[in-house]
Amino acid sequence: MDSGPGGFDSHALPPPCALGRHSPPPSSASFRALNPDLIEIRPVRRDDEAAVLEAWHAAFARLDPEARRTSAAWRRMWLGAPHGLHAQAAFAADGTCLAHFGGLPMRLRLADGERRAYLVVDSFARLEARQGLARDGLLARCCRAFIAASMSKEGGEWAHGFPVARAWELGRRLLSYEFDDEVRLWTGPLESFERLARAGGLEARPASIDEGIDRLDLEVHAGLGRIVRSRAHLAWRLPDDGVACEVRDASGTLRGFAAARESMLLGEPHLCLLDWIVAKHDDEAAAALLAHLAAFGRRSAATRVALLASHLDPHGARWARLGLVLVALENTHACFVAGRPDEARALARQVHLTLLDTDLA
Amino acid sequence: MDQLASLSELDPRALREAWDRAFAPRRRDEREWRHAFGDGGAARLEGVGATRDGAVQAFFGSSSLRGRVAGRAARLGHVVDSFVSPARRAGLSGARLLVECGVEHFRLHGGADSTVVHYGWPVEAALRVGERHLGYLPLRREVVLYAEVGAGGGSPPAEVLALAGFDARHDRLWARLAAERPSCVDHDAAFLAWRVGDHPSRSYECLGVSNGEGELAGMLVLGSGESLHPSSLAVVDWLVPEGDDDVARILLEAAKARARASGVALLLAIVPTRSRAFATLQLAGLRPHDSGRVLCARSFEPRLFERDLRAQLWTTLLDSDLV
Repeated sequence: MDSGPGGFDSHALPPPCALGRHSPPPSSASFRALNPDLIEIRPVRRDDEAAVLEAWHAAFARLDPEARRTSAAWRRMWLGAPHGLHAQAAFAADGTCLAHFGGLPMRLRLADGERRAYLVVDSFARLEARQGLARDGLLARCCRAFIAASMSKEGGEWAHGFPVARAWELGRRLLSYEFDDEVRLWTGPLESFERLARAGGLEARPASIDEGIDRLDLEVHAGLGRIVRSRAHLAWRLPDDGVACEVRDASGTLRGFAAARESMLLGEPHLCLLDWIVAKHDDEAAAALLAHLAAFGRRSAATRVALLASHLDPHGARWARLGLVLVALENTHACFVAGRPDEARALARQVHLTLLDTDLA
Repeated sequence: MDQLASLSELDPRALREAWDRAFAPRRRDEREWRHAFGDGGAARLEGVGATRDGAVQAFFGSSSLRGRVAGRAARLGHVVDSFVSPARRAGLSGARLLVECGVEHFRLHGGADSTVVHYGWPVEAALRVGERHLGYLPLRREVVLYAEVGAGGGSPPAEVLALAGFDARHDRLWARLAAERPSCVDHDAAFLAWRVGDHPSRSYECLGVSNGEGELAGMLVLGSGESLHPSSLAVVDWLVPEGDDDVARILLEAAKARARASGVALLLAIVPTRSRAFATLQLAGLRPHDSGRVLCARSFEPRLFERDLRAQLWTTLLDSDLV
């Protein structure tokens, strides 16, 4: 979440033949000198925080000096998940974390029932421990341990993520990643959110985070696959530095919910629409929410807006009418289902995701 | 027992009969156009078939076309007309047969000294087989851009020329465009003459804008878009240099006028989602919609990473067999 443009914290990247080309960090012995028999791959525990964060910074800070993850952010992401901590890591005998593969567990509601989804994030091997495309590389072994511990053919858990290009290539070859699509955003100037004419007296206000949001979501996105927006889920996933707003009618009925935050995308600060739950033709609620978000955006450094494009988005035509255009990122939406290789992509085509369901913003 | 044989070793009549059983029977001129042989033309068919008792059971092939890959002259193969005979399609054996043909085809016709990149838009089942067994790389889901053209006048802007025939002006325009499109089939005069001018059953219209000095500043090719939408005209080729927004605007106005005049509801186009043209067309009022088609490629250029291929491979509808 904190790694800056491109969301590359999905996966650390394997430079070709990295092993042995870079000097190891002072905190760790040369990986080549490590005895493979002494490397332990096991579930990540609460008390692994320091080792995992050290490895995270070792993996990402070389690629992006701005990449920082605080202890609080790590705890919130991994320990705050309502459905538990699902991550595996490789540790050297001295406790150094060498590689990590994890998924943030969420409830996925589909037309035919519910199943577990994992948003794969923070999957990396530290530079000196990368083994290119070796099938028994540490990242691949951590991934297999994750599948063994957290996924099953019977459960049909759907794991997905948004790796950058090189991580996708690795995932496709080694980790059974299936291609869904390249990642595309709707983008445009901040004023785009002010173009929808205000009508009626509806005003957006700070949102009450309760189960009404999920009920509205179920109504608005009936028939689509969705990550369940329970109160616990939203409390976990909505960032502290963003805005969440709602619109209610005179009787107090929830008509719309939206959330946004400022984030670096495409090399500049964008007001990122994290979530958007409004009936397709409810222009009145949409205009009130967008005006509220635009006002928030004006107080930030963002001059542009961005939201995740989805072929299932009922509001796709609205974004085009507001003057937003689609832009492709280099990230890929990738997914897999353990033991059911033909199912992952078919599921992906049923699920309407927003930026809140990703680690891109 | 099935025997594998390259195209030149297959009995042409048996292959024709098999094609006609697998697809709708084709006119002879259309078949000969599509399956242009020899290296002198813009396209040459390459492929491998599986035969049993003299009958062709399956075929996997590419139409190999002149172009460039990573900025260097190369051939690209459009995977077309690949099939398993209806009698062999049931169960896994049909897919296995097609994979055997594909593996042999890529062994014979994939490489730096033959056809460097093979590409196509397989249906989902073929995509899965291709990913698992034939090295297909899925590059992107194509986004179709569309505009409702409405009713009204059908006259294109005065600056627009109706182009007949293809000559050195097209080659010079293409030379400008090729610098912007490092991996693509060459859409020069020879290609356009074959693909557009000589097509035996489809008609196209070419509209251009002159730079005032006798050179083409840009052009587009229009054709029926009915394979994507039943009432549509498609911009099947977009040959406008990046940044020439005035030329783009004039040509799009002309295309919309032609669409109105022909009584269709929509104007369609497909250009690469990473291209500047993708933004240009949206800013001109075309809206995106999922096409449901995945562009895949099999590369034999080891220096070309998948990410580069995805960013670079420039295709339009004219590179497909949809139009």
